[in-house]
Amino acid sequence: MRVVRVVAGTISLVAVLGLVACDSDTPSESSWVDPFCRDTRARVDSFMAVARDRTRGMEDARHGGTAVVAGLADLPGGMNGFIAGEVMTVQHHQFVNLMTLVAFDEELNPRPYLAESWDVSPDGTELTFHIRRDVVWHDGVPTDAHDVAFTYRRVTDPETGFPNPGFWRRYEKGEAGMEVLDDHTIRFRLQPHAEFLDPWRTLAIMPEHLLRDVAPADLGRHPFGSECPVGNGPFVFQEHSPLDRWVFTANPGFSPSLGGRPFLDRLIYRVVPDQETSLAALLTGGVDVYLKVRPDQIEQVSASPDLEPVVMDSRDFEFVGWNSRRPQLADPRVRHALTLGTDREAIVATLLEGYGRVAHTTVWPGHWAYEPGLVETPYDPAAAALLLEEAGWVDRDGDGVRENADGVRLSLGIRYPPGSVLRQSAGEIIQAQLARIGVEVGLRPTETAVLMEVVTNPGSRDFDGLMLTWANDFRLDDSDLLHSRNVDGDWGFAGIRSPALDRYLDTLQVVLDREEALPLWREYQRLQEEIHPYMFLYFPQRLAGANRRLHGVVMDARGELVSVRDWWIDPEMR
Amino acid sequence: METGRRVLGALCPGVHQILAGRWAAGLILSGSWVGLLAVATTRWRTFPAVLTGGWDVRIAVAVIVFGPLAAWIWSWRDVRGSREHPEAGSAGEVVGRFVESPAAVAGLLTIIALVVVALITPVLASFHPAEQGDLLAGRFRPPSGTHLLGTDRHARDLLSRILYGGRVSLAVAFGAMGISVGVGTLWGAVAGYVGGRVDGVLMRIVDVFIAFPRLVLLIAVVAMYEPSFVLIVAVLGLTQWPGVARLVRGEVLSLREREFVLAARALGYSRRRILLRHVIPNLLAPLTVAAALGMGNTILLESGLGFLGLGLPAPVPTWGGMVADGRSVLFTAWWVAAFPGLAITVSVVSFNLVADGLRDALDPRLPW
Amino acid sequence: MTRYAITRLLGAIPLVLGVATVVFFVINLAPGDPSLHFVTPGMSGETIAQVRSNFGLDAPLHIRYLKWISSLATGELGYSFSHRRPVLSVIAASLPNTLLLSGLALVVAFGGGILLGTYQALRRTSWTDVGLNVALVTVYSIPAFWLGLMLILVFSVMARGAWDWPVWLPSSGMVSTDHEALSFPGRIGDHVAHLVLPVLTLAAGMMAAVARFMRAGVLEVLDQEHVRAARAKGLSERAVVLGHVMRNALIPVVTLLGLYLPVLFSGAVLVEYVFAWPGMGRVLVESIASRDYPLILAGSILFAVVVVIGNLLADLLYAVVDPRVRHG
Repeated sequence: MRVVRVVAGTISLVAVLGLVACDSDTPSESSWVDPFCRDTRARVDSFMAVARDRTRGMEDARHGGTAVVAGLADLPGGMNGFIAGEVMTVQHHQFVNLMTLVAFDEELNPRPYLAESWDVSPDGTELTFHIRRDVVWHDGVPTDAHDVAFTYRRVTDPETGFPNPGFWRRYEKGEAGMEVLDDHTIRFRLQPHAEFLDPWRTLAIMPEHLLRDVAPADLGRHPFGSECPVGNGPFVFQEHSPLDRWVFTANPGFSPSLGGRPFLDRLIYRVVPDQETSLAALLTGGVDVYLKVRPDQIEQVSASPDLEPVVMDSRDFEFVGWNSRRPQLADPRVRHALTLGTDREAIVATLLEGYGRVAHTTVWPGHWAYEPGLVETPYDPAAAALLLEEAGWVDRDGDGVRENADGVRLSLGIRYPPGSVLRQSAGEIIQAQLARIGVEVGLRPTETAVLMEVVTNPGSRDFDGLMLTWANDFRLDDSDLLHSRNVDGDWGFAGIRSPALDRYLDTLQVVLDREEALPLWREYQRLQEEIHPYMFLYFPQRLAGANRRLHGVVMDARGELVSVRDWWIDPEMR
Repeated sequence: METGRRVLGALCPGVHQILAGRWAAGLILSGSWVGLLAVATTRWRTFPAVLTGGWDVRIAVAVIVFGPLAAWIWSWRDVRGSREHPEAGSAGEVVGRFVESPAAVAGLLTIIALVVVALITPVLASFHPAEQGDLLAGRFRPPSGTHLLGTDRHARDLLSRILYGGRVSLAVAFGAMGISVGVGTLWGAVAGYVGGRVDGVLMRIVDVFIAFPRLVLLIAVVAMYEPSFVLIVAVLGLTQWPGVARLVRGEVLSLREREFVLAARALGYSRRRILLRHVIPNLLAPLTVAAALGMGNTILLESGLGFLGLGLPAPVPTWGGMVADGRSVLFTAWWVAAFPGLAITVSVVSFNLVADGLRDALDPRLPW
Repeated sequence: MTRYAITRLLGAIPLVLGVATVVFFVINLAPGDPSLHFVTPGMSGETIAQVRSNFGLDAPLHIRYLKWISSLATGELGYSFSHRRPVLSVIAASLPNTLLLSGLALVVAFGGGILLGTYQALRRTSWTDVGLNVALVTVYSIPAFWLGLMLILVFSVMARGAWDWPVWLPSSGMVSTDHEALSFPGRIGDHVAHLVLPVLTLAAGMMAAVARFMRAGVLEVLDQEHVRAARAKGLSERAVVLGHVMRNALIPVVTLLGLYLPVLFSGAVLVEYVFAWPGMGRVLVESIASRDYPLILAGSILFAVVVVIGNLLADLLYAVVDPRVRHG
């Protein structure tokens, strides 16, 4: 039986290796840990042990338990505010591990967070923040104005590669733009503009004492972000295993004036890369919150007595951006006809199961200047056909596709990033519907990295249409997309040059008074309709599902994790 | 009695062969004859499309019209010819052993059916695969009289999509196999026959290619370049040839020392001639087996790519893409994912059964 | 034999380097690069250029190749752009999970396949044999992603929901979320429950292949002299099968073990995808999407090494089980 033993021996060796390696719950990669991380982790651990002792016995019934949040992808960039731009990652900065100077309330008005208060000089050129005195980094060092100054210095330094440099367009950058008045007061210089507090809502303040000596260009690859983050927020980083999960524990020393220690003992962000699996895990109680519920899944969430469906408005819109440099698309009438020929209500009703709104302009439903019904393009294939004929596009050779007088076929390729069932389906509907009005549409899923090159490189704008999601900020500024000075910039893919549009884009950003601005916004939206740079598809609603054992869950336009400090678990169901 | 059987055999192809105990031939003949006639009688209204439609419609109608004719002619000659139908030589023996296995014959019948169906799809399918019905009312309809296999999320007829998807899968698989068998055979034959340093270099290259993570390479290439029919065929074919090359080289090494090759060499024939005329024809048997197995594997890989969203772009339907599409509605509309998955399984099974039967027939002692 | 193994391994170094070089140029010449993955709306051209230079992607291709090769020589696999940590630590976190999944699948496939194949051969030409044959070919032909979905549908969702079975299996991940709170046996049970479906999915096709090899092997051995002799000696059927038939029939099957190592490695990709298993296959696929060059390269090198080791293992095992083969 020697043979059998050899086989069995080899196999069990493999199996044992696997089991041993995966059952060690302490991070198994301890031998690879960077010296920086070994030091900081040790300091965090010892400080937290002391803090925990100090606050022992102060808990009530709501304290305790572990909540698990399921997301589709790892948090790219981790807890490194200098490089992260992805939505869920930034929410972890804002609400979980780090702190921002300013937070927003339900009405989206700014309220104090790390900054206790702020003053603006009467001429709007100086902004002074007063930093809270009771916030400490998780290793025990106090957070103060020097951290804010350090963060600002780095994010305005191009070497760092901060993903949202547009934040600082109207701020004076670098050393000249700021002044530390004392340990808890810092002043910034800026040109007066609307919504000037917006950057401070998402920008996480980073610890100067740990990262001071790291060269700006190396900040992106520093182990701090994903191996040993040290924050100052309500949750302390405990563990990250790539592509699997992030574990955070309650920060016992979190500022009492901001609510003190969070109720949860632990918060786990679990990567479940598949929406079917995520739903199954939510239904079976494997996760408490599933963040990216698909519209066709929400019914199953509602049907379960244990689960609560959550519907949020979002600022994102889905659109097909036309390349007006193309002969087929140069005429606004053609672009208008394409929208008329697409039944966008049906797209929202079927693909989004009604969880969304047809978009007509870039102004999102939660924005103060949004007015339903202000401008609207209906579904009217007959009108679309007329408009196309008027513009000179007629099917001259009987092949079902229109041509113009020069024989150019009205054939358009739409490129879009692959991987989204929703976008793929929307593309197939557009393709089928435009075929009925004599427009041929080719769908070209294009890998993200390549598509980005196509979109951002003015030299390679090789597309007719681009189907993308655009993430609006709270402050709505379409200059990157539509201003003629940016036609050859990174996001000027539509190639629209309209002096009228430029005027509105410029004025809207500096008119501070909303009453004064409203008529301008209206005109601006009518102008968008007239020029028709894109086929706006819809503003989707963000959907999530949460287990009812979890209380205190608030999810709205600010994000899914906005109330995470106040989440608590029914003690019976821990 | 005898005459009656002949008359019946001449009128209804396949009957004679079945009565004579030749199940495989009989089933193929009667099946294709009855099936094609059935299609012709139910769907003759679509025939005028020959005048306006493209080549695929013309081919489909030609198959439907000439298929039964060919079956009659074959059967008629068979009936008139010798009663015993002698099959001499090793080829006959192999065929004899092959048809002894009911599983292999079933597989072969299924493959023939798949190919014929793929050819006549434009006539057979009641709907265009990209044609969308009423988006709200017509989507996710369960199987019914109008939509035999139901409809998908865009109110498209699932049966028609599966039929058209089959054309894609088969075309990709045949194309890829053509490439891999062609390249692999030449490569392996040259390496094995020339030998020496050439062999060493050629086989090291094969080693490098075999050491590639195939699925990962496929994903990489398809993800980085835009998926198209040519790209997918090329990539599937070009990742499969090293296996064929290894197989062929082994066979050639043993063939090289066989008497008829030695004889040809003694006659002073050129290397090229010996390789093309004497060596490669003898590789036919093992290559057929490898190709049949490869067909199954290629269909699996192609559907895997489609499942990952890296298959051919819409509106071309692919089986893997359809499974991925139905995955999200598995509980509410099971048919969307179930039938394409079944189609993949059935076609892969039939290719594998044929490969299996062939191998058993060629050398009953070989394992897989 | 040790010397033979070492020679073979040394001889494989150029092969592995060849694979790595081809992959390096394939991915670097393809359109797109990792910096574009970090582009967000509003980012300026200068910022993108800056990110690219921070990643060292602004140097010409041949310089980058030389740099990479020379750091590889010092055992440095580089820094993963997308995970923002050293490649080695990413692999260290995910490879063991793949090994666990594949290792167990290997055990199930070979155990089940050997038993099934032997059983089949002993009932040769019976209807059981024919039926099993077709069943095995079918199992071999089912796409793994589809099989996985069906298993989830039956054993995870329907079992818990519609049919209300007392036991149902988890459909994703490696452990439950309350894993740490469980007792030691509870943890083991939790691990096992999470392993059942992915291991079955991964093992099914391979088991069918092993069974076929085993069946052929047993059939061949059954006809041989020494088996007849053993029977003639009056040994029990059980002793004959176990001691003489299976032992010799295992020879070809054993070589399969080595050949299946790489298949397991890449075959796990789709299964890891369906079951959200945090393994190497998924890491590799995602690294392609994010153009994480160092990680793709490290994964390819790893795969090539597994192939080399697998082949070597096949040869060595062959020598172990078949005394006629000797590697000097």
